[in-house]
Amino acid sequence: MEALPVSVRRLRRALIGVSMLCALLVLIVAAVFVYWERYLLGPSSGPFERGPFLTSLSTDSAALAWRVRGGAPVELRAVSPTGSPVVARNGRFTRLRPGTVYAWAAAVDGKARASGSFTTAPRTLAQPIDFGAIGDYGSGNDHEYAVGKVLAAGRPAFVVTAGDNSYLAAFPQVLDRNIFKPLAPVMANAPLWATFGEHDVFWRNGAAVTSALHLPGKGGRYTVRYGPVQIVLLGLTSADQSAYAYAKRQLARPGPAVRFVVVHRPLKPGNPIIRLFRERHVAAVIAGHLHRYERRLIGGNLMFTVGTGGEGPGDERFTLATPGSFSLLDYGALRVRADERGVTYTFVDERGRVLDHYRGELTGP
Amino acid sequence: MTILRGICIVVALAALAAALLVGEPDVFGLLWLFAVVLFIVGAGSIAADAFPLRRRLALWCSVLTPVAALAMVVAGFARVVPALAVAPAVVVTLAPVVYRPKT
Repeated sequence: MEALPVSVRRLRRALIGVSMLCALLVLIVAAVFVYWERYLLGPSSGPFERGPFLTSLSTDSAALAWRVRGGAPVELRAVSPTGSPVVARNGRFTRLRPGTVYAWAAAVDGKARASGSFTTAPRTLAQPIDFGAIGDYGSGNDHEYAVGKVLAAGRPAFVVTAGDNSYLAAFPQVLDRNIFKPLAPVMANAPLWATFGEHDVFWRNGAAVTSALHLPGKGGRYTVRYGPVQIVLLGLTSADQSAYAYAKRQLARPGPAVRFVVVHRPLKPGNPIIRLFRERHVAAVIAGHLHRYERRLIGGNLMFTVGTGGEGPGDERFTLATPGSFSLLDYGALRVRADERGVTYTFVDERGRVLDHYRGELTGP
Repeated sequence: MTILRGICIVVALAALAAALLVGEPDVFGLLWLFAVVLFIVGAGSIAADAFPLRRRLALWCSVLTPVAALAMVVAGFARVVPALAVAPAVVVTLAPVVYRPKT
């Protein structure tokens, strides 16, 4: 190699040094990216846009629904505590054993991307049944998330809602924000049986909520059975002839050991349905509408108001306590436990504190 | 031949020896190490052969040296036979030394 001038030699060495330094930097950057991707980034947000969440639950079957990106196939399996495996077809598990806890997993591309558990309904109240009740919750705020967590911690078999599931209106576009995300921890383990309030029926009589939650009836009016428990959901109000006729028909059906009625607007004195509930031995009526927790007796019926799920009281001057009731302004959920000896009602606030505890009869107060 | 090319040849031959003597999967760790050295020294070799430019073949082989280093890295993931993964590196580092057209 012919000798180069000193200045050119220096320039050449500098170029070589810079080139090698650049190569080293490229490797360092690549290493940082690989480390970031493999160890620092969490798992991807997952293929599920909604759910999976429970839509129905009985003594021998359970169904889940979901919305998955790109329509990817979902493998849904469950296993009992004794190791009995069950595979779901079209989201439905069948031939389950009563009163048994099943752990489910939903896999996409061979990996479980969601999981939960459910308890099939027992045949009798020899095995206690726990469920939750909330109302006026669908605002997607921190209070609703807190109530959802408290509710999930109680491991309810199912949850009933007393309406106003989505504010300000139940448009399909806001249901994930207002229902499915805040209540995801509980909905993976318990079906949500909702009746409707004014904010729900504002948009096509609540068709979006009915469809999204796979409810068995329109307008928030239907009846569900969970083993020995019957829940009659009436919808917005119990103060019309159709609600009365529906309740009369459903409460006459034989079989349940204990009956509950869920309606959005609280009962008012003079409503003839009060007498019907008493005659049919309804254990309790669960309502919402008023953004308070209230427990009271009305015409011999035990009634709870649980409009405390998240939306909140707003101006307290317009959220007055009902005279003669035990009344609270706190956010929270009602936990209900039914067993052979009676029904226990516990109101737990968004901080997990027990603010009310009441023991009632299976056949009403 | 530049010093950098000499280093590249030594590294490529060492990688070839490792590929032939060390069993899988241990060999892939060694190939990673050789590939890193080859990538950095190969980058320097590009500058050395480009400035001043004397032989186009030497420059092209230098440019291909970091690419061959990447191929050695990928070999472990692609389940390529180790000796085959090292072959491009050996070829591109040795070619300018072996092939010297008469002028």
